Amino acid sequence: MSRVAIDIGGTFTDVVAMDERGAISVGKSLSTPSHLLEGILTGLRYSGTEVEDVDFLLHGSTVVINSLIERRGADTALITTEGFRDVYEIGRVNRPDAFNLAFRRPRPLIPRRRVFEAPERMRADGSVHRSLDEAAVREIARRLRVDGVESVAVALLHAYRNPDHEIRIGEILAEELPGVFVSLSHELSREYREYERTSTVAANAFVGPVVADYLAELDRAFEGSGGAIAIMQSNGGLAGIERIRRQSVQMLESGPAGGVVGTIETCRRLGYEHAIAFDMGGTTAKASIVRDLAFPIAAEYFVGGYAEGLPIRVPCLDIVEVGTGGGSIASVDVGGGIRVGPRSAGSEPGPACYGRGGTDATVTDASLVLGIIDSNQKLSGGLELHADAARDAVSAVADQLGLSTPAAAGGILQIAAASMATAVRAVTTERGLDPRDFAMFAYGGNGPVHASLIARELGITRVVIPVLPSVFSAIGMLLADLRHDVVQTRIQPLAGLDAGFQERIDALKAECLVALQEGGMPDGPTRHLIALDMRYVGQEHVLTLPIDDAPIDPVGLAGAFDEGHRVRFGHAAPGQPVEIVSLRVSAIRSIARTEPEVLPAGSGSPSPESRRPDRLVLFDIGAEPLRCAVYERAALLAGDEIEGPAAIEEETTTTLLRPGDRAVVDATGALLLEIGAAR
Amino acid sequence: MTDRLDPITAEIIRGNLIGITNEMKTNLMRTAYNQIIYEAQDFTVGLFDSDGETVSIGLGLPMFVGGLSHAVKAMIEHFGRDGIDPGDVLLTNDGFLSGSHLNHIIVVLPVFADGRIVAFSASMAHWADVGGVLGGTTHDIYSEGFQFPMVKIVKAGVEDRELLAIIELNVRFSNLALGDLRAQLAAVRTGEARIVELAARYGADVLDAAFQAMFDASEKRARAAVLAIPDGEYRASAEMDDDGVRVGQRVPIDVTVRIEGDRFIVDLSRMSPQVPGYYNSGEAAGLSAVHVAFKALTSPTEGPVNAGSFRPAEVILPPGTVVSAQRPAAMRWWMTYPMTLVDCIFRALAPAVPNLAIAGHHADIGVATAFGEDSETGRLFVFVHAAQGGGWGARRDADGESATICINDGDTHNTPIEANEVKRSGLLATRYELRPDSGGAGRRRGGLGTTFEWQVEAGMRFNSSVERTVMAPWGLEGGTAAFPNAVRRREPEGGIVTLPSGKADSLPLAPGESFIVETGGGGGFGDPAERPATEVLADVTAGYVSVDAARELYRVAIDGDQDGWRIDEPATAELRRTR
Repeated sequence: MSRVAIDIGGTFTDVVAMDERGAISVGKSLSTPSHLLEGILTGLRYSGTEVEDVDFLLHGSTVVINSLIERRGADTALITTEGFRDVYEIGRVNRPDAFNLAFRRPRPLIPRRRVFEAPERMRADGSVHRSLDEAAVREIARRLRVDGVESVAVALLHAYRNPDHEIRIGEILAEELPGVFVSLSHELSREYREYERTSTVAANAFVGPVVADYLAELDRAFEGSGGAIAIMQSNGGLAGIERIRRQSVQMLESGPAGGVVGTIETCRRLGYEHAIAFDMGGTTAKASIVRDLAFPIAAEYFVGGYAEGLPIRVPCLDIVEVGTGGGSIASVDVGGGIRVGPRSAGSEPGPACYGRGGTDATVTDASLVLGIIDSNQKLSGGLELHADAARDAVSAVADQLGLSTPAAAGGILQIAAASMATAVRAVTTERGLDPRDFAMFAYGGNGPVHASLIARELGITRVVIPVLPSVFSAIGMLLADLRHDVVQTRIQPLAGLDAGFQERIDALKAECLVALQEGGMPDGPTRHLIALDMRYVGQEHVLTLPIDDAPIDPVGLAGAFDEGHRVRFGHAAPGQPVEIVSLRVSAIRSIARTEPEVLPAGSGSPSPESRRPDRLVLFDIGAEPLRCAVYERAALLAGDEIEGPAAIEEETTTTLLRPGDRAVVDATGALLLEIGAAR
Repeated sequence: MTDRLDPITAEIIRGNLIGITNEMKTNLMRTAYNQIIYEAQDFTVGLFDSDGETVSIGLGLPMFVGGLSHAVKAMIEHFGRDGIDPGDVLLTNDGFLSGSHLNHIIVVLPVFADGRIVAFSASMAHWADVGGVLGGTTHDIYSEGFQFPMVKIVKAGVEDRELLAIIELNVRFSNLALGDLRAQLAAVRTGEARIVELAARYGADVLDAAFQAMFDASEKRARAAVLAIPDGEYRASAEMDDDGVRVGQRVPIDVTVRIEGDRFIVDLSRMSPQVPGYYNSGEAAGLSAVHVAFKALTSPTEGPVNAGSFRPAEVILPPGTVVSAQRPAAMRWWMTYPMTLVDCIFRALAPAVPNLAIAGHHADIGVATAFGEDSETGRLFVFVHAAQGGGWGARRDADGESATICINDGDTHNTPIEANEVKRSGLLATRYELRPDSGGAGRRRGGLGTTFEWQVEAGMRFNSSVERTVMAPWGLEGGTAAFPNAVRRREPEGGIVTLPSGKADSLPLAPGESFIVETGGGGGFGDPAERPATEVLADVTAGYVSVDAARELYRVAIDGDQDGWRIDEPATAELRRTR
């Protein structure tokens, strides 16, 4: 029997199966966007696993994000408080792209003709200002029935504080519109900020019926297995299929979340507490920061990016993305300068060296020209590399710049590394952290190739290339816990906290436990994370302060808040009154699991069997290429040491050690790199 | 490119400069103390070459795009290169230098490498209070707060305690002010550290060469864009309501643009002379307004924002106009008129660049304040309503955007109703909605303005500073004008009264009464009768356009009711034939 993780990405569907002994097998297939299940079953076959062998299925998928970005969802309506029909369309009125007259505001998923106002009004303190006109709600329901609406979102003002009217509308809709998907804002988010909550419930209602169909199909396909199915959420934890059916926006970033969970679990085995998780794929590079082994959570997520994206307010992986990846195109612009990205050759046609019609020079083509990637290497899906095409593409750029082809190729890599370093800076230096204090985990198909150069940009000296870096997100899913979060806004002064506050915490803890149980999820030891969003009275922004799961001590909390404020914002105002804005409670349940296999120890230096033919690699634009030792990663043993320059190859990626770098193979199978002289 | 600089290094340095200003910006927002900085983003950070030319700007506030460079150059002139030492930090809030109000504090730090100044790292941030009259009308700069000439707030690494004490004594919230100053210092020091790092890696001379190469490349791109504009003289004008003091006396905005090959010459000599009220701004604001329009037309998304991309723009701006005001002009509401100036440049050039042109927008931030005695604490409270968003103009290929912040501001957010109500009892929001028909009609429709209504539940007073309530945002190429901005009051019996001016001064409001701020729409583009009838039907179905406006302006007859609208084809054909 095997525990199987399936991660559907934009290009590939990765299947990783781990048997009772911790042995891992991998199947990689091309994703099949029109019918995702097809790619899943192909990948499963490639991994050598039968449906009947699966005793627990972990799953992450792009189904939600694709449905939102392509706007293929249900015919959805929205019910709001009277007077506030346009909160969703008005949004936050900001214009991030300041000089661009062709800017586009986020487009609602629900058109205005499908937005209806319910006569009712709650006040900020949760009292009823105007009671709900139920007859009017039934009249709206009649309209929706006539129009054949498939899904309804409900978002009322101050429902985070008192959801009674939302609940009542939900009941009426269930009576009047049986079979129609209904989503209430307070079920997804109990934080204030009406636009963000409305946008969240609108997205959930929009994709809900689509995801429900998809999950039902998945469930049927694995009926024969008898094992449970859990879905990877953006919060780094798993949830049962039934919960995700109602709250599908929780799985927006399931793939990247898997990679960060993998980073945390590898850190745990290596004895690290902090790390940078760096994931470089074909079109983007992403960075997250792990501190004290905690999964990094952001309060908010924007579908398709900040500038034009709709916000989703559920706890989500905190990640920064830049548009640089293996497929990023190098070009010369009108002003005569060279640019790398954000234009990308994507997976179709892909880099010139894929030989599928691409003629633009990409980062991958430059790597091939320099000898970093072996031109005899096979790619996933049986693709062959075309070194000539890569050289032609790069030399076209070189000619325009008056450089030699190798010099241009080296330059393209340096520019890409400098650009990707900004993603790491965004999660470190921009938050008052020094990247040099962290080990950088590099994964994704291109992470191991470029990690050393990026680390040098940042002065980072420790790099970790985990096992199976190109399917690392799926590895992370195999190791994840169950998780459920509740965030509840209720503003109250810290000084006046009484027993009622502890009761609120206990109630939310109980609620989390019920949620974890849903869908036949396995039992296990459970811990709670509790945090408070706090601020000085008069401020707007908050600081999230994790607290111990112990009785509340207001005086101690005030001191901890002052200190936290000083660290995060650079100053504090001890003695100023502090208030609590929101209470965050999470429950995390560990699931019994097999630990991944441990590598046997070697002699300290790689065996002759691990050697492949040497090749020439150009590291320094001004110098000659260096003869570079090449190793097969699968043949390395724990304790083996390798000095740069060297290339360590495995299926679908290559780890490059530059001159001065050193790698040690850890018993976990991870490559621990010490980066030589900075830059 | 020079001999010392290869294109790869040039590009890596360019990427780093964008990164550095981003980092300065996040650091300032992260550590600033007052909301105007981190919510309204009323700040700007930047890096400048050793002559004070802009190398990279991190916005903040778009309309301040030239203000920092202006100040850095003045600092260099004032202190002399030899008079600026390592460890110095220079400061000013001179409105006639920054072009704006005294709340804008500018901090400049010289960056030394290889024994000389290689760059300047600077920040501007809006302080919550700089002394002066609290709200209401001002008649000169002296009534608007303290003024710091160009001073060294830090001398060779040592803070000047006397200057800090003067600041502390002159502001209402000294902890906020000093907190914001610390945030500004942290931001410019971030810029310094990263520039020093770059200089250590590449050398100060290579850094210089990279700056100059970037200017040249940006200039080349910008000149190519100007060359594409047909030569000629283009003129447009508009009118502001008044200056807040001479009520009802219109203030002309008048712009001439001359395109001569790759030169883009903007003549502002016909702008209104400076006014007795508080709507003046300084020369830096007039120049910045031209730069905002120029960048939007020639290189809107190119980064970093640098001096090279503005080189083709030449500005004729005699002293003493409303955007080049001289001491002691009052400047508290400096940001309003330049917005209309920017729109006038777009309007003037519309015939020349129809593909880029944009119709007029609502051009105001829509600030209103309610103040009174807090029923619980007995203390004075001030509730500020702003940034509700209005309509933007249509363009040849797109309808205008609705409910969006004006061009003075960028990534500025409105305040959530739930956040406002939870903070302040006594005010209840009753409506926040799009204004039907407020967008100008056209083949492309202008964006819609918004209506916000606050009901007061206790007695209080009301101020507003809303402009452009008279002259509506204009359409282009046959598109019609939008609704202008408006301020209204709902009486307890329910009747709505439009205030005679957008500038209410301490108007009393009784419990149960409401104040209503309505933002204008954006102008339409092209003949409304050419808008496809199906799009007009979609607009009526959505409620953006009324059935009457569809008939009168778009010449489309629409039948039906809320349960279903449809086009009356024969009637529409007749309407469109007979207009």
